[in-house]
Amino acid sequence: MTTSVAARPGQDKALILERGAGLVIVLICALIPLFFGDYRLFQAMIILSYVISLCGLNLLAGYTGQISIGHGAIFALGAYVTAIAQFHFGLPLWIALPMSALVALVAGWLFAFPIMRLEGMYLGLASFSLALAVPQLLKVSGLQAWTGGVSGITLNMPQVPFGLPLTQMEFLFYLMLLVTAVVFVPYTSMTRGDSGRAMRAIRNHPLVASTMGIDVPAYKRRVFAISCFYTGLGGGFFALATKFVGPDSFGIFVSISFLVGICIGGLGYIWGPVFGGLFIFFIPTLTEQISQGASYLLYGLLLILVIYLIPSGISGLFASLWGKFRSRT
Amino acid sequence: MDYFLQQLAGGVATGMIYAALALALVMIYQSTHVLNFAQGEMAMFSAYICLALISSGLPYLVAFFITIALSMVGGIAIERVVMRPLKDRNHLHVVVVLIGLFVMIHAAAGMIWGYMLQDLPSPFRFLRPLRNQYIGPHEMGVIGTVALAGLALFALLRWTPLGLAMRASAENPASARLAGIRVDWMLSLGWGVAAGIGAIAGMMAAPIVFLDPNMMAGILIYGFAAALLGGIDNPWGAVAGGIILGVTENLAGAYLVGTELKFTVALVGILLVLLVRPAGLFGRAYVARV
Repeated sequence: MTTSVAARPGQDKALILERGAGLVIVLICALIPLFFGDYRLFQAMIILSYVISLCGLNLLAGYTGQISIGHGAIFALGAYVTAIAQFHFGLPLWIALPMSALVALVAGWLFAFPIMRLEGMYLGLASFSLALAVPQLLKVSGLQAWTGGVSGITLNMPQVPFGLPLTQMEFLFYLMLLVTAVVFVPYTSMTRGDSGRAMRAIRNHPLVASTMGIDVPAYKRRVFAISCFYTGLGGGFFALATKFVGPDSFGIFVSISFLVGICIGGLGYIWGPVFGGLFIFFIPTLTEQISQGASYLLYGLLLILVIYLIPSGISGLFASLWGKFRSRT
Repeated sequence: MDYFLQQLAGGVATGMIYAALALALVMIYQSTHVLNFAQGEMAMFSAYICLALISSGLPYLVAFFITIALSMVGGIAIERVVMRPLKDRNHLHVVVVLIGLFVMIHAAAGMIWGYMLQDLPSPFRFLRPLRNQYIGPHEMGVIGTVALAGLALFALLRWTPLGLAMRASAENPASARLAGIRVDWMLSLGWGVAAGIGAIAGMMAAPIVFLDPNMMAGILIYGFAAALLGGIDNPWGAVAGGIILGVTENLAGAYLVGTELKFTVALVGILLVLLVRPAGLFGRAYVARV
């Protein structure tokens, strides 16, 4: 797979449209600190950390068709690496954050050796048990010196460098926005061209993919590792934004809500992670306002209904509406 | 030595609970090739139903059988309403819907009964005269009950026309349909029977781990591990796998790692089985024709 098919003009146009839309979204987001207070800013940061994480899950589940109910564990790993780097070693965030992403990448790559040999249901099961095991591992007394055990680790907001006229919150927010925009580029380009076709081939028909010369197990491992890179980075940002990591913030429900987010946002659509991040942040708070206890009941119901009614998620819904609109004019 | 035997007996008792849940998972896997992630939560819900029936004044034995019956109806309903429309969808969608069910049942139990620990009484107080330094009355009762349930299931599948029809539907749906068996209903019934066995697991586990919506997470993972160890398509294997795991867990907990790493032990176990012997100890290897 060394030659690549020349892009058609239509694809070029779509690419320009997509990049343009991304730029507009980033610019609009950049205005948030001017109009909203610290609380909204905090919310926006959490959403951004979800969006980065979901980009990774979308590559794995959406484009390559490999389910993971364990990405909450990778998210926790990323968060703890940043927290430990800052708390125990006093490292600045421009070292701590890349470390989160890289540690997650390596961990994901190693973990992929056993689990990427599994398919479908079994992969779900293995990742599900990983998600259950991690909060318990974080509490283990042998690791308590590093992880802080049940009481977790409290972090500091990063200092504003170069005497920029920003508050610490604003600085972190702009940094996150910038990083999200930057990491979105390799994410979108991975879904195109050779790698995009290879991933989709593995999703749609692994046997055919392997006869076309794609090393399916190696490819799956690579995609899993890259997806962990994104989710680990998201976890690192999450730790900085919440200024706290503890084993109870990373239970099985984090993994479940990531899966929910990407399914509802749109599996295998570029913008899926954005819609998904917004969804998993706002919908539980919305349903909680309706009823404290029924919040998760509604959440589960929504998940099932989306799979039945719009399996391509919010992005898919918009895409088909856009297609109808285009064909009418 | 006494301590060892004590741990061994305790391990067999918890192993029987894993075995019951593993049997439920195998029933569903055999009929519809789905790993039911919501099985643990279904069992938890059944245990709450049992508690509600007992609090309304019914004697334990009556509550026990009503719970099983209600659970079976619930299992059939879930299969027909929730799972059936997904018959031709890919694994990803099926797993996501099962996770959705997991969340819904969990939340429903929390909403109805709250998140406080509650105590489901053990029905085996009458076994108290038999207790000794190795094994308590509840442990004895659990072993007996699950063994009876397993035998009843075996009898149903082996010696009744209904069981034959169920096995035929699982083995070869097309031929079974040609022979006049209503395959759809047999698959639903498979879910129903699984929900019933799961209910037994839930009711047996509740006096040990106490009732709360999170009670089954650990048991579900061990149930999965047991089913995989025994071979996911083999009921006897599931029972053997459950007992092996229960004993291993208890002995490892007593002598090696403590209870801190319960889930990690299960995770390692699952990975090991899937890597070393994916078909399990007693299962058949799956061969696909393309």
